[in-house]
Amino acid sequence: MVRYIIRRLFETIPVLIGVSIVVFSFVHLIPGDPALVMLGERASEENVAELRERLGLNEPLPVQYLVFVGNILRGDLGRSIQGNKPVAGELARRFPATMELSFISLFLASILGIPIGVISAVKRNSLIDTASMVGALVGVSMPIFWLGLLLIFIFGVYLGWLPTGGRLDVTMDLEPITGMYTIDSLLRGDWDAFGNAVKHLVLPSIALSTIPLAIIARITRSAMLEVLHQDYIRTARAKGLHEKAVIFRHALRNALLPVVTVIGLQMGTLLSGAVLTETIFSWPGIGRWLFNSIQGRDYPIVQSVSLVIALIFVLVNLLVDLSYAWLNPRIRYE
Amino acid sequence: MSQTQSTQSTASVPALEKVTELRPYRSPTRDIIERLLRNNSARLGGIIVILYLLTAVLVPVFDHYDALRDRDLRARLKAPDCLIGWVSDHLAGKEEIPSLFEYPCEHPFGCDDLGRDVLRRVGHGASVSLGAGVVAVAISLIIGASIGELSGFAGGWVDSVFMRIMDIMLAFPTLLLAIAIVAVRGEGLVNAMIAIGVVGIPTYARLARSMAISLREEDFVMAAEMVGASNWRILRVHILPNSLAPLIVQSTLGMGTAVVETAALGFLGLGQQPPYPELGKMLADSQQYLSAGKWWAMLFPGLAIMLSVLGFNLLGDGLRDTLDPRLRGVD
Repeated sequence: MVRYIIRRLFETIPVLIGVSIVVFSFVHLIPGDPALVMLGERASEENVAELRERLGLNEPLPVQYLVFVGNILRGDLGRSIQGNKPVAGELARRFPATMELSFISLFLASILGIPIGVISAVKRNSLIDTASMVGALVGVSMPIFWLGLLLIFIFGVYLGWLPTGGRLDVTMDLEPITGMYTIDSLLRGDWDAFGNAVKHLVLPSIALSTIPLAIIARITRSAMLEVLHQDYIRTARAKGLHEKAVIFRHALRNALLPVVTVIGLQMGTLLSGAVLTETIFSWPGIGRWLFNSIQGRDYPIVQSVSLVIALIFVLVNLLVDLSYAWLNPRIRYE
Repeated sequence: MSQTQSTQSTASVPALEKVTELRPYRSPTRDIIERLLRNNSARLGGIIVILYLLTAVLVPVFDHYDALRDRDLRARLKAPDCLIGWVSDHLAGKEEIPSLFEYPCEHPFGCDDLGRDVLRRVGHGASVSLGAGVVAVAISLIIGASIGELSGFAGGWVDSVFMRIMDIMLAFPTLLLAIAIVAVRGEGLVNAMIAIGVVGIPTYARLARSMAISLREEDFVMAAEMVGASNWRILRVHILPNSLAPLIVQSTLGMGTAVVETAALGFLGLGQQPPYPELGKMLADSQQYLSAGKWWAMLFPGLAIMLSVLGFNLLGDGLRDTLDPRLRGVD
């Protein structure tokens, strides 16, 4: 297992180098003078020259790349064009909001998706199975931004039950500890703030969890169906085990392997979805920040957010691979 | 051991004969079409996709739309009439509602904030989505399949180099990479199509590579090598045609993804620019007056995106069941 981990870690290095090259090249793929594009047509020549100097654009490309990587390794992600603030600090401030939303969405998708998949497989071809699989297919086909707008209209505008934007009511104040408001409010024992934070989380997390939920339900169903045909399930039934024990202790445990993989891989969907969901629900995370930075042509932020998301994605994929190898010995001995 | 084999072979001969008797030869194409027509998912998906294609192709042919001039301030945010208006009047409990035949029928899906007919714009938006989807999938398919076939067939350093590049692309969530590409190259439908096409390349490359690797070991490829066929001929005549089935399935599913990604980029203001109709952009614009309860400009473009994606997903699932021999007979 240790050898497998080391091999897998080494395989990640070229990918990380590649990711850094792709992100680095963003600025150089801008048509025309990047500094001029970032500052706008009306910028003075001195300002453009100053920005070129600040971004190191006058250096040869290899030098620029090495400086870029060196800065990243030291945790320096540069300064934003608008506001001239350090990007790393801003990123750290917004990151917990995205993580809170992503974790809750993944949690929702898993605790609903797995039981739906199990029930569908056990009651195969029943009305429940057909209904949940049609639901899952609609869920996979649903554009997340449309679902967000539908939820806003139904629960925010028409019924008026839930807030449609932000993380807390403007009248409410919460001193952050972790930056995740549900946890912070619990840590401070502020139940009003907790309730308020949860209310604000409901709609965005439903919107963000729909696609992963549908995918998890479909994968759980097909994995369960495959396992339920195995000989050891027949043996378990033959020796007179209760059906519940057969399903949960024998079938589900073995079917969970591909499900765990898929849950891990949904992180990519969540992080992409965060850009859309956060934009619709005015959620102050890194997704909305990326959107605003694209509109403001603030490329250092675009680069940093893309880099961080790619790093998380690579890391999660690595963890999924390692956990899969840990659960399934055939992989690590290949 | 040899005894067992001979027993098996003698036992299988009558069984084979029986099968040949029961199933006379049918052309593979006819066989596939018949199986597709028996598959519920493919049938429903096929109907939705055909309706979508007809709308997307015929609307621009029969309705000349000038997006630059289309505005009617008298019809600003007009609610849907026709059937939807009639039903919502009934639901709202209004008095003296004319019968359905006498009910006004100018804007069945209502109008947006510039008084533009939502139905008309959804129709034209559907053609934009279709065009974008076709171009994006073509880019992914042509480049991805070429890279994959070449990598799988050539092996060695060619394979390593291409696959490492694909790994790097896969290190980014697809939509995010597309957003980044458009953000860098500039907004617009053309850049959006290219970006969506480029981020789809690794999926097709991996699929084509796995097909090429397994086909390379097949007897007919080795036979072709032995009679002196060139690598190019083997790739073109033997490997590519035999790896088409999974690529067709992936392209159908990829159309759904491309349509939704085009709309996502449009929604973020990175795709088709106003005033030209595009479903994602229409949804983004509808946000401004959603809080005032004007739901129609939000409902119908979204429904159009969802139905078209659903159609391609259903058809793709059905095609996979039909074309992939490993899944045949599972259900």
